[in-house]
Amino acid sequence: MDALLEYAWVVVALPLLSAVLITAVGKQLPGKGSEIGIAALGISWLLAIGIAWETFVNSPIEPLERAVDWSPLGGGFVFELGILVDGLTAVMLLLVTTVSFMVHIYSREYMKGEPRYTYFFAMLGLFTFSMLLLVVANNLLQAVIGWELVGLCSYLLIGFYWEGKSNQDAANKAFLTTKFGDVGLIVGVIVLSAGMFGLTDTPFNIIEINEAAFAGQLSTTTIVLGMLLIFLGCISKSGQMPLHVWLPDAMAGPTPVSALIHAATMVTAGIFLLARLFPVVAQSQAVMATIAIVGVITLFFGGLLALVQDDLKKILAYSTISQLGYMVAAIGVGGYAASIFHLFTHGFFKALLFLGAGSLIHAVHSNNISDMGGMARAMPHTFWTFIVGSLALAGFPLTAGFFSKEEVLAAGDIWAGAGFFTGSLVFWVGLAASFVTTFYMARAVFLIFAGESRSHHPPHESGKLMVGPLMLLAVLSIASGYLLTPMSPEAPNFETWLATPILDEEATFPFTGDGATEASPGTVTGDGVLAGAASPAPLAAAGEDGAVSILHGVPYWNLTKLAMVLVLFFSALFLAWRFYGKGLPERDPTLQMGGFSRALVNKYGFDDAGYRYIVVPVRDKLSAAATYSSNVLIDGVVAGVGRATKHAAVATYRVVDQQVIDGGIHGAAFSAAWWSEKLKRIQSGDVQKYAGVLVAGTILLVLAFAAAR
Amino acid sequence: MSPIGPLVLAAFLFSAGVYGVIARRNAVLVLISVELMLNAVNINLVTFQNLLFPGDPAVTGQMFALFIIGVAAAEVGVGLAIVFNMFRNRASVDVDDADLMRW
Amino acid sequence: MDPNTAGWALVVALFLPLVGAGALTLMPSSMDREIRRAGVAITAVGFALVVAITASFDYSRAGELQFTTDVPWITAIDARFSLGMDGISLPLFFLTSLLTLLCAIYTTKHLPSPGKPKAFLSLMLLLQTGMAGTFVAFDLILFFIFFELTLVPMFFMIGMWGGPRRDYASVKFFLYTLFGSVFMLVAFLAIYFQAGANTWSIMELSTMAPFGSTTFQTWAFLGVFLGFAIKVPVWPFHTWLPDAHTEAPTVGSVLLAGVLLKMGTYGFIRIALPILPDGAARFAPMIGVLAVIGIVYGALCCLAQTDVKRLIAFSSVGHMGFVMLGIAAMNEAGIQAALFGNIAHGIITGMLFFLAGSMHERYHTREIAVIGGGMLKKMPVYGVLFTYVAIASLGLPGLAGFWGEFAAMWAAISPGLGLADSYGGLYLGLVVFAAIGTVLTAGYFLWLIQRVNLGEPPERWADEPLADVQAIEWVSWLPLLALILALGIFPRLVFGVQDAAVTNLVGFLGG
Repeated sequence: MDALLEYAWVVVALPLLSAVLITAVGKQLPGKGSEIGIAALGISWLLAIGIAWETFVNSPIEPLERAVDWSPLGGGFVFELGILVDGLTAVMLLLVTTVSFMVHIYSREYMKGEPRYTYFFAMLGLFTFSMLLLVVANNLLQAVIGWELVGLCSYLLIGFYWEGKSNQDAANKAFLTTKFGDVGLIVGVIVLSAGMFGLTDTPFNIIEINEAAFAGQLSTTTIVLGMLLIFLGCISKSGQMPLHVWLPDAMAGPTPVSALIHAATMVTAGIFLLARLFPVVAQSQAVMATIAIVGVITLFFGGLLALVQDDLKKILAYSTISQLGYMVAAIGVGGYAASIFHLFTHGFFKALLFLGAGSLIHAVHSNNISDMGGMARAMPHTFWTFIVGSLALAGFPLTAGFFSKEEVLAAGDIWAGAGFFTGSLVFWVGLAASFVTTFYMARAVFLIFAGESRSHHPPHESGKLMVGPLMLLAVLSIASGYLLTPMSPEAPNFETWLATPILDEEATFPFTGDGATEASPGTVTGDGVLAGAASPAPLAAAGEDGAVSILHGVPYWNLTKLAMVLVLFFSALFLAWRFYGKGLPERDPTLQMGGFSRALVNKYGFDDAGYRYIVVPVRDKLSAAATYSSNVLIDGVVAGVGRATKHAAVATYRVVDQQVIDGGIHGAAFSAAWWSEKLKRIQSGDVQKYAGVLVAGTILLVLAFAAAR
Repeated sequence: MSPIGPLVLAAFLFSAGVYGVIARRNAVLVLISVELMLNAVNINLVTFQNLLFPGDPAVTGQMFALFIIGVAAAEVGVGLAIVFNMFRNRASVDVDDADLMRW
Repeated sequence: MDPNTAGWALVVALFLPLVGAGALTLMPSSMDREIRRAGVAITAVGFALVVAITASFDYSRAGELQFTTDVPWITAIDARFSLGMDGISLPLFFLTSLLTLLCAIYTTKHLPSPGKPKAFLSLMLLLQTGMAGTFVAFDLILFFIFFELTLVPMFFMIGMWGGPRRDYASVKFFLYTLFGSVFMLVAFLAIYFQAGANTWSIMELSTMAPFGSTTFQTWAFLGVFLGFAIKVPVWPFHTWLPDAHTEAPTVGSVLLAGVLLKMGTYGFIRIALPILPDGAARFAPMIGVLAVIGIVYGALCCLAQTDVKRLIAFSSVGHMGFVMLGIAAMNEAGIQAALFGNIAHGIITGMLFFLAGSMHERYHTREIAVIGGGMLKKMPVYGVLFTYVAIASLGLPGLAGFWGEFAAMWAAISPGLGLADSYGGLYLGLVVFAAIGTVLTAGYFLWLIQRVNLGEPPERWADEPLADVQAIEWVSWLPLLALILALGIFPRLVFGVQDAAVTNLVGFLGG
């Protein structure tokens, strides 16, 4: 059965090949390169489906790992390039290739007539490749490479319309915000790998790290420090507060790119990595609590921001932030499978919503829902697919979003039942946020589709290439939820799919909550909406020592909680219908809530604060200070040394050389002149005087000799 | 024969010559005085030859005297030529006027 | 060629440029084109020989010296003429030869005023011998001579063909680096006498190390440190660099960034560490701190620059900071990272200076504000290349810049020589700040791209015919562009070659 899994690398390689080929020959082709991208992704997609099927029906499977020693890194350590195929990889491969394939097809029509059409498809290929490289990575260094390449591609695609300043700014913001998170990721990966130094030659290997963490071979410091830093990377990449600010701005890119970023290829990376390293995460209660709290804050406050937006894409962007909050929170409350399940279903319905939004925007030439209205008649296919997506996002029963979101809440509930405070936080805040979600999606849907058209362009339905992907995604937005429902058979289901040799049915968290031992173990599962194990067996087995099992088992119906969800859904829907059912109200009620509305419109001031207290000081003040210190202070010292040397030199020259030393030389010359002036008088030219002196001298000498005798 | 007479004569002649060279202004007289000194030396040479090496067949002193007479003649020739030139150039043979070689 | 016996090949490859320089001076100045072609021919022949050496290098014994020549030279002071190359020397030697060839090619079409290709190319060839010699000399005296030999041609290159402040820049460059060299020479002498073995051989001294008291090691290391740190340059000895880079002609900047700075880090790795391991261990934390200050500080300075070339020059401070961080780690991975960073920075920043030079030739200004954006629209291919190289420089994985930076940080987490026990926390902090430096680096490069490349071209350039990348530029740039990608995708090209040599070298450290 592994035969197909061996070829997982082909899934990764094809999009890269597509990018290279499109760059090389794309412009000469009749489809301007789009056919290469679609063909490559199509094959990738089919292969991914095959891999997903293999891993699903045979789940739980033994992970398949293949790696080559790509380069030595010194000290005997090796960087491997490799693939690790297990259920998690297969889920991600399926999601990424599906969304990317749909986006490719969709873009062929959507981007028609755009400049840089060929370049766009090449970038889509590269983007997909980067994400897949991360997804199949068998080691963290390769994951980092994929992660950063994803960041680059997002930069290039968000800034696709680089003529405009705001688009450039958005691209820079996205890259730099995520790059800031990458500091955490990179240092975190380094810290984890350092913990592996004595244990292996391949310190980045994910399976080895997971096993070491599970076997207690990594120190608590390594785990806590490493995972918190890596989580910082996830905060930025997966749009968690307060580093979510880039995500709404990233809407500057073409809409298909937004779909790709939000559904599959970028924001999911952080969640994926947490899931990939879940055995490490699970070692520390502190790490999990941090993750849960960040997730809860994001899922609630991120969702609220969508209330006041007029730009449809921004509404969806904030809803993504909120949904990502659910996924992160789920990880934080031990909902490893729930998180990925929600990621999986969310990928489909969010891609659907974005592509639907693209279809609407294409029709009315505006992003704003205030310019739409009455679109249901003109665009029937877009209408019903969008409704499906909205229902899934709002968690309407029997859609995929319903099942996956309830899994997240159930995870919170189980966690709470085990005595962890964060569990109840996730459960209740998550429930409240679902009300918000329903309300803002209903607001958008009413304003877009109900009432009279406010558009300046007569809207028209999009072509087949755009509607087709919408329909497929709409089907998936419902169908994908049935992988893990109370109706699901025991196995295979989504949980067995994600099980690994470490995270198997017996695996439990190594710590216990406050109330777990007191509470009767078997009943902690009962509080979920659809919560917990169908049979309380795994928990009961583990419950004797108070430990919580990592995989929860198949969920079951809990009618009271189901009723609560329905009441919330319909009350939000009713409220939205009251306000927006008859078209755009003159004064949008979401903007009439005083300081609360103002805070939302200002996005809680994060963007502003980030710009004012981080960007400006660093870019303008700190850099100027550094340059000043370089040019004036440090170079001042250098110049000072130079000048002092010069002064010393001048002094030496003037005093020592010119006066002392040269003075001596001059003195000798002057004294010679003075004496010669005196002595020259002897030279009278009078021969007779000379003769006289001569004689006198001779006589003196004779006398002297005589005397000497 | 006592050497006193010739030696005293020579001393007298030499002193007269020295006096003439130092004191006389006329260049011709200076030349003559030089001759006087040379001849005083000649007398001394002959006298000492006979006094110190009597019967020496080499008669070195006399030979030197002969050479000096020859050289003196030549010297006077050159000297007089200079004096002539001097007279021709500046119409004077006064040695005080010939002070070009001074500072 | 048998790498065990063909020492002549290295000697020929080393002195061919010198002979070529002599030959060039014999050509009449009027033969302008022929001189430029002769320059290309000489460097091409030299490069061919270097390729042959690279091809016949025995990679299975990359840890040992090959192509050795070892003959007595100045017997009065025991100096020997000792050449050779191992896995550490080879990539740098190769890079030197390649860059000089590309510069010669570039010079066939581009030479700033006052022209005079004969003088220019002769100086460049002289420079090549000095640079290449530094990497293959295994005698301290010989090393020092090659090391200093580079000063003179570079001084004239900046001083004659440089920008408006060339006099200031060239004198500063010369004096500053010479200042450091003096201390280095004194330290060499101290090492010679302390070792007392009547030898200047780097290998023998490394084998003998450690010798002398800790005090001796400290002072000797300080001397060597000053010499090399100024060359690298390590913060705060960097201020000669922006001036020299900015004023130097394009080719001068390329060689300065591409090779000259590497001589400093190479010196640390080849001489300072193995011969003075105790001193190195004492200085390592300080080097690490200075390196990380350099990273953050260089990036901040870049944010404030208004001149493209000066910005790139300051970026070198940051990138060399990563190299020094690798050295400060004092372990195999760190040395590997430093050497990789060396090569990567040489290629990438060399390429950036080529691009900045071309930008100046087209716009006649390097002021970011004057260029004002829209380059991608005006010169699409050039704009793409600029983006590509800038992104490589900010350390994106898949391109060469990543490996040096990541590996340096990775190595610094567990420094060798017992530093992990006493300074573990400090090094963790260094890693964090170095990582923050990468964000700032990304910041200034993206901002640069935004201000130069993106948007609509301002009015004053709108109708200006600006030529896109020309044939001669393609020829001289393509090898570098390809290497950036090749090293990024397949770092084994450098890591693999160096591995055994670095293991040997760290063996000397005793760590």
